[in-house]
Amino acid sequence: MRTTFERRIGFASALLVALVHSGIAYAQNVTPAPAIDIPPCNDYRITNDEDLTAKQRACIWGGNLLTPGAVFGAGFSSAYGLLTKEEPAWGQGAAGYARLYGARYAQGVTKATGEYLTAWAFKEDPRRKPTNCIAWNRTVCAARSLFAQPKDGGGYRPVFSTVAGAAAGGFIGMSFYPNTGTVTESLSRTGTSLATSLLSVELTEFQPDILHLVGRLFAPKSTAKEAFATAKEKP
Amino acid sequence: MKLLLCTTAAVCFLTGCYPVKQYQSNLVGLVPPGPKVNHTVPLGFVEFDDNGQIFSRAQLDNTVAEIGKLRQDCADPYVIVFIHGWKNNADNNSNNVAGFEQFLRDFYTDVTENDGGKSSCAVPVMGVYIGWRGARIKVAANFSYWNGSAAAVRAGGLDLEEALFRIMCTARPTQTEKTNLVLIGHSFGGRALERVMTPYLETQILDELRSANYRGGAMRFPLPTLTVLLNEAAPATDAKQFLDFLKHHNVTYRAGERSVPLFLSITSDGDWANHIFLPIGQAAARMQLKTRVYCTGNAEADRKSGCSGDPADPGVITNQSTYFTHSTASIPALYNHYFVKGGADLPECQQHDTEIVKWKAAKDNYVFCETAGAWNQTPYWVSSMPISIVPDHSDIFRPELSQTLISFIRQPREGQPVIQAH
Repeated sequence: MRTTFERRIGFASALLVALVHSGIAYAQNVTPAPAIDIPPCNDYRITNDEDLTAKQRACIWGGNLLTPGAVFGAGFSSAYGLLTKEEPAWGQGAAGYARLYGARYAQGVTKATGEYLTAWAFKEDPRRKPTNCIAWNRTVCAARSLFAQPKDGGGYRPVFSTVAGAAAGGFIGMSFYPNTGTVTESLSRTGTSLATSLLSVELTEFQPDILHLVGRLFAPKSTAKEAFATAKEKP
Repeated sequence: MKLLLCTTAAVCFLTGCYPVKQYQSNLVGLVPPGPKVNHTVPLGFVEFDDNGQIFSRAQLDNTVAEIGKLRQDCADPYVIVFIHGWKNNADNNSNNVAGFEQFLRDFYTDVTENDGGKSSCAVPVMGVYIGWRGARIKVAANFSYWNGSAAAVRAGGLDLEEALFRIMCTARPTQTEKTNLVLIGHSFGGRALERVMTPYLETQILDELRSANYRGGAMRFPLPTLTVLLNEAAPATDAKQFLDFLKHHNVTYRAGERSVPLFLSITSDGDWANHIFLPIGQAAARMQLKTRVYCTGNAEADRKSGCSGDPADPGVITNQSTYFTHSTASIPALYNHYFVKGGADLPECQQHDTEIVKWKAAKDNYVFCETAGAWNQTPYWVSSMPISIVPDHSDIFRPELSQTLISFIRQPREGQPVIQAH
């Protein structure tokens, strides 16, 4: 037999459950449509946002640390270093290759970090965009993008991050290369790094055109009008 | 078996496989205002799993209900449906979600700025994003070509067919309806879209043709205003059969006296995935099936080749493998339109060709022309596209392409386009 108190408790519980349920139902009815917010480090936003936030700059830097270019570039360069016996003290074979690979990769990381910090300090845009130039002038415009970028009000402003990153990557070698850790070799590495950056922007600029030419090798050759001439029933 | 499972799990763990899950809520969302847009635009998601099965019917129901509301509230609204491509999904991290949002903002701006306040509602535009498992692995994603291709075929299954049919029935139940419904499929998403839309259209057209009441004129089934296949990554075998069907039944698609595209298949000249990767990938896939040599009509040559069946049409493509190893917009013989880029000058079509639409995108002027005397004279328009509009396979949502698509979707025409067979 339930007491009055128990009945009251039961009634209060039922009322509470009903209130909570109706509250949930009401909340569901008036739930506002969710905004589809794109995270700041989404690639599309990084490419297209007019101004970059500090987080987006950090994402670009993080992304540059682990690119196929960084991983395989260090791999090829270390293999070449091993073949030319660049660092005899590190020995040959797997151990020598591993140390060279680590050094080359550290150079790449330092270069990316140098570029990131310099661009951040001087408020440069770290993104390399296709140029608006035409014909072969594009070669010059792409190269120029490494050292100057357009200003909002027209004209150009200097870009320091390219040289700073290359120099950082080149000179960091002085701290770990036993044989090639000299100033001359560091300058040489800086030059090689700049040349790599130049090659990279030129390839980026002309990539669609190069791929278009390669793609044409795979395409069937007959044109629409030639096809019309061989139509089964001419319309 | 355990070893295989462990290896797969280890590879997934190390490389990062994308999970099979529903990314968006069941409610229709809102595209937030952008730098030059001060209004939100509704965006519904309909998501499918790796087997092409819909994740949540509530997502579809809510999206269809929102389209119905838009049609009631607005005089001639626009519903833009986008099926994303390879290496994308419905996650907010996906480039296609971000890009489609921007496209909707651009579209909304164009409609509100150029309609002179004619629209009867604040936002006469709505987007629908169709998600499927196009993104599979996070590292070395290019190696997911064959898996992605097969997933696109599965995505183009019964559930997507139902979703698109319900969207069509709600947005544009008759072809004289004023709502503008545009379906856009990119990359493998184009393949899924084509696999759903071409059998649907064939069935509906044949059904109308066999009807005793059909005496020519507009057909009555629900139909999108325009279907765009953008950098479509699919062998041309399906499209070739559909082109033959359209040609055989003399199907036209017209708004007043003007021909308009039922399908618009455009691929960038810089689309490496379609021009280089697809022929290589399909050549490998070709080991699983046999293609045939078409007859030429030359008795001696045909006897030697051992061909059978109808002669090749067009006669310049004599082996079926050409269709199997290339996408539709990579076969110039199937083209019936072309772009002309004019820089700062106004470009012109070649002599005898017809100008379809002119527009300005970024700094350049463009014109889209119809080739007189092309083999393909059907409403399935095929063309390559300049690098200046889309530079490669994936980078599609750029101002240049937005302006190009907007020009096609919003080009002035006399009345709504209707499909007819003669």
